[in-house]
Amino acid sequence: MDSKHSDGTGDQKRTSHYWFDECWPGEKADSCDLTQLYSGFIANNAGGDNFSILPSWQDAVSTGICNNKDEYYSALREICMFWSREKLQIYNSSEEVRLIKLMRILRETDQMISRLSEQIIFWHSMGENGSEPEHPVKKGHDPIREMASGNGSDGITLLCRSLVSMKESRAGLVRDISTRCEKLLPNSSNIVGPLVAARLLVEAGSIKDFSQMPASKIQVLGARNALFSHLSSGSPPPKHGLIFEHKRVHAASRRKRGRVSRTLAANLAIALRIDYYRGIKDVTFLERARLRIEKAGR
Amino acid sequence: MGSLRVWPPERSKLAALYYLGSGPEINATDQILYLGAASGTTVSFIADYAGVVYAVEIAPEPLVKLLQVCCVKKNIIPIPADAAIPTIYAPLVSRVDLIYQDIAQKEQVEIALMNLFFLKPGGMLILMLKTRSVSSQQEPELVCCDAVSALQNGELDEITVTWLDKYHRDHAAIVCKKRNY
Repeated sequence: MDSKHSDGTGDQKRTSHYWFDECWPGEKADSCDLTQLYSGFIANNAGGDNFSILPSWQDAVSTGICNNKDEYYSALREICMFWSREKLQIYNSSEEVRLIKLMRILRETDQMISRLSEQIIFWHSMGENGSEPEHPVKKGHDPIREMASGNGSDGITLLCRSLVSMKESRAGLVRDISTRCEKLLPNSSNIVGPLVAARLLVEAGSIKDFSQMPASKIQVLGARNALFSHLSSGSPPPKHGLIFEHKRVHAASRRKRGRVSRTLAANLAIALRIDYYRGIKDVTFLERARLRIEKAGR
Repeated sequence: MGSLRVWPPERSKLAALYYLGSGPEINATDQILYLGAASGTTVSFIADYAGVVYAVEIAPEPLVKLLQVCCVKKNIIPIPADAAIPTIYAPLVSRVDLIYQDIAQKEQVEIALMNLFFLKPGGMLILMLKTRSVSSQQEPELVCCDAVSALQNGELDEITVTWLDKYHRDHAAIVCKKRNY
């Protein structure tokens, strides 16, 4: 391959097409400069018809910018590592991404708490000797809390205490998520509540995608299985997905639920667009939306 | 990473291809363009054999792991760009001897064809066709036939298809060669 690509390196016009003409890492000490130069290089060249002119280490050596193949590749690697790190940094510093990550942590926490509670309650209901259920599970009281308050020091009691403190930490996490979501999606948080808005955002993937969704999709967001079984086997369509968690939807009578969730989703779609394109709270819109949703429930 | 590692065919599709006996040779001086590098498992193994690997990956989460692999293997060049838009990274990538593609997208074949200009004449393309990503309802064999004819129209020859069903369901490895002009 060596001989094939060294042809035409003396061409004056071509030199400016190579990345190493504009940003050679050794010459520019400052890393920020480097990435800026590089992005400028990308902007100048991307979309152009420079495909036939691919760089090669032979070209770099013949222009005298580096001495050998290894030097060329380590420089290229350095630039690409900068580029990758910069991309990651931009991604990681986005509020939206952080909120979605927090929601994933919340989901894991919830799952862990409920799975562990289930097993412990089952163990608890078995009693000490496994003969007769000593503590039948009653509704409305929390055996975990009760066991945690006991003064035993066996593993299960300690685990119950951890679970109780875990629930407190979870509440803290929810508070954190709520404040973040209220900042990020002020209008939709106001309509459906910050936690539901954040869940919907996770389901949608990104604020951009979310804000461009039709209301009908928002209405059934989170009811994927029901929707697909409707589409493939003709079972009744889902009336609501995650927005069921909004109090006006699940408090409405069965007959009116469809209407309420439809109105709610329609208003949410508008709110999301305000959130994405304006980013500030619109009080007059919120008031009107509230009236519309209330009217639908009556 | 120790001096010897197992390259399990269940985890890596390329390993499965070699286990089934139809993988092309990789030489120590080869340059390889790897599209869809993900978290860098297969990339790290290829880097053991090849000269330079350009690892293209757009998703940020696998990219973190890929960068960790890059810190160990000095001959991997990470490229955080979309393989469907080769113009973005075209200024950085030299002409390569082999293109390996493992991307779960509907337009897998189109992406492969778009990246062909990086391949030198006579170079190899290994396309791991995820038939279920192309169409979840169509028969995998039909999807594969369409892909092969699309590749034939795009200056590729000597196409051999290996089904990796033993290790990876509904995956076909398409190995082909760019025509010499």
